Amino acid sequence: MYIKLVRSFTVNAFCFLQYCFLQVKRLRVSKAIFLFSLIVFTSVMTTTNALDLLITGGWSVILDSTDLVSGAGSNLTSQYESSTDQVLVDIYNSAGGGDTWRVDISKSDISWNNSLSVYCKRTSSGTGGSVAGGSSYLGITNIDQQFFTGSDNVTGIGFQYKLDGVSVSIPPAVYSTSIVFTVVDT
Amino acid sequence: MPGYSRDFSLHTKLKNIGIKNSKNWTLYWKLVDNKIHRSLNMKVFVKLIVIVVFVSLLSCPLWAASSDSHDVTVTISAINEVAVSGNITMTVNAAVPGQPPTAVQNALSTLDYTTNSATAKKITAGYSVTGGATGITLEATAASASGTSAGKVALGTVAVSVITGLTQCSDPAQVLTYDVTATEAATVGDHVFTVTYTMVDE
Repeated sequence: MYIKLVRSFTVNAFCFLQYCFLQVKRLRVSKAIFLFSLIVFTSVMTTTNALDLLITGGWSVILDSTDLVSGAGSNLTSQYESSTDQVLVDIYNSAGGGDTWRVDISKSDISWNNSLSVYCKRTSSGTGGSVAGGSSYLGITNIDQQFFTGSDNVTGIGFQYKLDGVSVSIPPAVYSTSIVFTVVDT
Repeated sequence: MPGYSRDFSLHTKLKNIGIKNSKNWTLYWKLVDNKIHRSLNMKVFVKLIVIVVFVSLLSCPLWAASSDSHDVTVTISAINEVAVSGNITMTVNAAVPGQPPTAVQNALSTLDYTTNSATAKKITAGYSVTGGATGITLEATAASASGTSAGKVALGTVAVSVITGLTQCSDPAQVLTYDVTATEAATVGDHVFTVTYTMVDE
């Protein structure tokens, strides 16, 4: 990754010098236009090859008395699973040619109850490049964990969620957490 | 070195002072470099370098990693459920001579309840009756694992508390004990008491 960063910076610097000489020496444009052009140019140069990740979908669970294990006198069922491929993830803008990456997962609590645990597993491989790992439930914490790896552009990678720890000890309310997928070039 | 070789004006000037690039490359390029660096305002150059480095640093994280997120939302509704087991039959059909009819007790029914309320709940009981209740007293005692039993209470058409202090609990099969007493004023026949248990806020 660092080699790519250095390479990217070097390319940018070289292009910058080219542009600098051409604009200042030949075209004689104003400094302001020159500076603005440089910023735009450098930003584009630096970001065009960025790996990107897109999530489609989400998961909402509504629990009520119908979710009691055996009616009045019993507790709530503790575990719930979403449908398979509840959420789809696309990885795009890879450099191609076997460009490898990994995806980390974490959560950022909005209004969460610590008795609740949320798990995620990969249920399909999508189309395009390749993916590996992540096919077993992983407990999502507030700290990034490596989830699965892959290469090239892949679209439609499916994921399933599991909720655990539900009981009547959790007061009625709406609990929400943001699941964060991060693709990292490797 | 793109750009240098096309600087024809400089090239012409160099030729005019007798320097031919084919014969003296080193001197040629030194002069070219000096010419260009003198003409480029160094303050502007430094500023540009700083800006480019800054923009590059800002952009690098985007290049290295990209994130997206979505929400997982769990909605837990208020749950306050009460259930009782099946119907029971109690028959008052005996008496000690000189005494009122003998009371009858039944402890075969149970009460189940669940609540996820963080604030205290109680269970009340009251009945409606067909066949009249004159001369008949129906009392109930509800056991409770998580709350506080009110003990034996006389039931009526106005609900009374049988269990208090319930929060976030699920208690199955709590024994309900009914006691029926009848006086001579009670009419002979069936008296059907429909007892309703309700969980409410304390």
